[in-house]
Amino acid sequence: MRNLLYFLLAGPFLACAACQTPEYEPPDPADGIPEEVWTDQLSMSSDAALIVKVVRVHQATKNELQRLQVTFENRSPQNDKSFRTLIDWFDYSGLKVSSPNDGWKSHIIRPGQQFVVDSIATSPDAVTWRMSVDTWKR
Amino acid sequence: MKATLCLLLPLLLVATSCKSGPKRIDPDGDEAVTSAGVDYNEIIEWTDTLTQRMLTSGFLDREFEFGPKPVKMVVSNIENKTDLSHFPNDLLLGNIRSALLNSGKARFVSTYGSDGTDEMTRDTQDLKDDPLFDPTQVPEQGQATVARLSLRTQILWTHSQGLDDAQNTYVVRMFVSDVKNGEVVWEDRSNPIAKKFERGSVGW
Repeated sequence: MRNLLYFLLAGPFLACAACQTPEYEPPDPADGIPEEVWTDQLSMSSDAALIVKVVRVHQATKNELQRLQVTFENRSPQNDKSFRTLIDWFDYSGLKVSSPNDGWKSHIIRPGQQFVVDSIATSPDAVTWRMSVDTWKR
Repeated sequence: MKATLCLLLPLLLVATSCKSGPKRIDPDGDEAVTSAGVDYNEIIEWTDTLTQRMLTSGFLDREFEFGPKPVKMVVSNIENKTDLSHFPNDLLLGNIRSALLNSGKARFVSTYGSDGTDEMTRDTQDLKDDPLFDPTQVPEQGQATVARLSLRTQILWTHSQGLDDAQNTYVVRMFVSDVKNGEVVWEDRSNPIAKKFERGSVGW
C-alpha cells in the first residue's frame, strides 16, 4: 500500500521530468509602421544610405505625447559609422512644433549593430513627424 | 635688391599672419569646432535625451501623487564635477525647463532656486509702498507657488590617460525629489560624451 502511494506521488514528477523544456525564443519586436508609410516621412541622404539602413519604425502615444523610435542598422560588418538625424514634429495643421531641443543629433554605430534613435514630441499638439538622416564627420 | 627685400619682407610677414575673418556656421554641422570638452551640439543632445526620459517615465503624470498638471518644480543645486570651469548650466537647464513647460506637464517657479530665477515677483510687492503706483494693482501677498518637485543636477567627468592619448568622458546625472517627503521620484543620466585627443594637444 505504501509503495503504491509512493508510486502515485512520484509518478507525476517523473512524467514532468521526462518532458522536454521547449527552447526559449525571445519575442520579436512588434511590427512597426509599414515601410510604404514611413518612406514618405524619412529622408535619407545618398551618403547616409550607403552606411546605414532603416530596420523598423515605431510610433506610439506615450503619456499623451507622440513618441518615435527608428531602428537603424550599420551596413558595414567591420567599421564604425557615424550619422546624424534631425526630427521635426508637426501639428494637425501641418505647422512645425518647435522645441528648444531641436537640432541634428549625432550617433556612432558599431559594425553590424542595430541602433535605436528615440524621440518624443515635447508638445501635445504634435501629431506627425519628419526625419532627415545624413552622414556626420567626427 | 636690399631695398626690394626691405619692402617685401614686411608684406610677407603681414600676409602670413592674416587669418580669415569670422564666418557664421551651422552649430550642428561638420564645421563646428570639436573640443576636448562638451560642445554646444552635445549639450543639446543631452537636453533632448534627459527631457525625453523625464517625459516617458510618467512621473509627471501622477496627479494622484503630485497634484494636477502642470506639476510645480524648482531647480535645485547644479554641481559641476568636471574640469570645465565654465560649464553652460543655463543652456542645459534652460532647454529642459522650456521643453517641460511646452509639454504642459511641468512648470518651474522663478521666485527661488538655482536657475532661471526672477526677482520681479518679490520686487513687485515693494511697489505697494511706492506712492507712484496704484497699490490695488499689486498682487496680494502669500500667492507665490511653492514647488512640489525639485530637480538636482550633477555634471560628472572621468579622465583616462594612455601612453599617447587621453580621453575625457562627460555625463549629466539628474534626479527629481518630492520636497514633501524627500523621496527621489525620478533619476537618470544622459548618454556619455567621450572625447579622445593626443596628450599635450589640449591646453589643460
